[in-house]
Amino acid sequence: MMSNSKKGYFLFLYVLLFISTNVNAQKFLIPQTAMIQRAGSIGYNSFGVGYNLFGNKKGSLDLAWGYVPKSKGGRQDIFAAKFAYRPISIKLSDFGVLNLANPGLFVSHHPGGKFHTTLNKEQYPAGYYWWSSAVRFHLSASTELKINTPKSLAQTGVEQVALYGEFNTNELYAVSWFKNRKNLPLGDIFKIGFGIKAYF
Amino acid sequence: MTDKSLIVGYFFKMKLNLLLFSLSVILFGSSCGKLEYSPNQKFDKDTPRNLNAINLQKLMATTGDDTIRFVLSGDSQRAYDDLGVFIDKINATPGIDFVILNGDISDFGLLQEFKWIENYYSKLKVPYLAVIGNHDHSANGVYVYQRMYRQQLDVSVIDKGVKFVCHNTNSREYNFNGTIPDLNYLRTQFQPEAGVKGFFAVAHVPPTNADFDKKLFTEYGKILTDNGKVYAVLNAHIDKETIQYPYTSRLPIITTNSIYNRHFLVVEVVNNNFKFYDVEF
Repeated sequence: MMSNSKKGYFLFLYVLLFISTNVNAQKFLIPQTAMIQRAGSIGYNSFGVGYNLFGNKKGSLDLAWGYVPKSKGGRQDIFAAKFAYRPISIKLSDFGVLNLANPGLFVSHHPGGKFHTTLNKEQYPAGYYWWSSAVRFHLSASTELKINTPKSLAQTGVEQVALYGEFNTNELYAVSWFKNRKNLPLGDIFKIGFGIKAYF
Repeated sequence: MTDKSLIVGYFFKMKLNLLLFSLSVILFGSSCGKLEYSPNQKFDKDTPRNLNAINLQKLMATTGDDTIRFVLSGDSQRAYDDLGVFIDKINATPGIDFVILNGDISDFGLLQEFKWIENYYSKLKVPYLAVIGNHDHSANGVYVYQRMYRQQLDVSVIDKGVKFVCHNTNSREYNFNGTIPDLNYLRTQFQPEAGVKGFFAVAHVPPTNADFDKKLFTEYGKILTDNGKVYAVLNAHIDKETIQYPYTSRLPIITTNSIYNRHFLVVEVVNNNFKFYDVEF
């Protein structure tokens, strides 16, 4: 019998082999966007690459790594996968595009011994804590302004540079609010982040 | 191109666009102070520090009668709709010296929860002491507690000749490794002491509960009963008011109901006689 971690390594090697021999797979994997974000619950700073979904840049998937330095309440690493949908595109002449209200969801993972994804079965009875302290599920809403790159900078490969601001909450804040709707203002559970994103 | 987008485009051609956007980003960021780096950050720029020490100083600075009267509250987690009423009730009750928040301050060990709870308890007219609970051990909760309340999870306080030995009994969070509760700490704290007429043991998990290290149950009881002047063990955790005598008939183990269930206990020591009653709010 092969252990799970060994199986994982073999799968990883197989995927690498597949990518290295398949041009289409390589094309598919090249990121179409890159982002840098401040706050927004996935790090003091976070850095990510992303892919456009559904055509016309209506949807996006960003994969990011973020960190909180010790001086800001860390040290903490955070990995996040962010999905957003942009139903409203307002074309601003030649200047760019404004995506006014973009609902999204994202998952954040907090590595480290203090955090659990599943409870230690020897330590806790089943269902002792119902949530995972390592993984948070977030709902988000963002506004994004995509600015067309001037023609003089076309050779950089950056088509558009976007500035965005984003509100988010997570499932534990939402549960806290839901049972205390009389006294806990809804605004209290929404947190803010903002960032800059390059579309290649 | 539609008319609407032409009009919007016209405004943006006036080069106000970037200015407006950066303005809104600044407003966004600064007006609410709600930039969050992580739900698991241990503190932010507004987090209060060392509240147990600050509150202890306040307690020592107050002079009153010889009667000790305090509130035992517990399990404040996720009870934000109930806390306002709770605080008003205590502020309207005369003769309270201080309030104990006996663990499970938070539900998920998140900074935001500690801040919400602190926001209520800071409105008390009297000082309060926070003791750590099992839920406060989730995620970075212990770090949040240590910075906000006290670095050491065990703390002893003497007020009007009565010693309160607050300690960590959340054994399950340490996988019953035999170090929690810290019996060595308790042995030193429950030594007879000049000027101390009686003791209270204050902790979140009662010794009779499955979350208490059963290897330490007997020795724990021995330390308390050997002292001979312990009025009671004061706990929370099980969300109901109970009184048990697992060691001797002179050592009651008392649990308070949760804030969510809208109960707390008032405990008094008058002329070295100890009594308590439940308050519903």
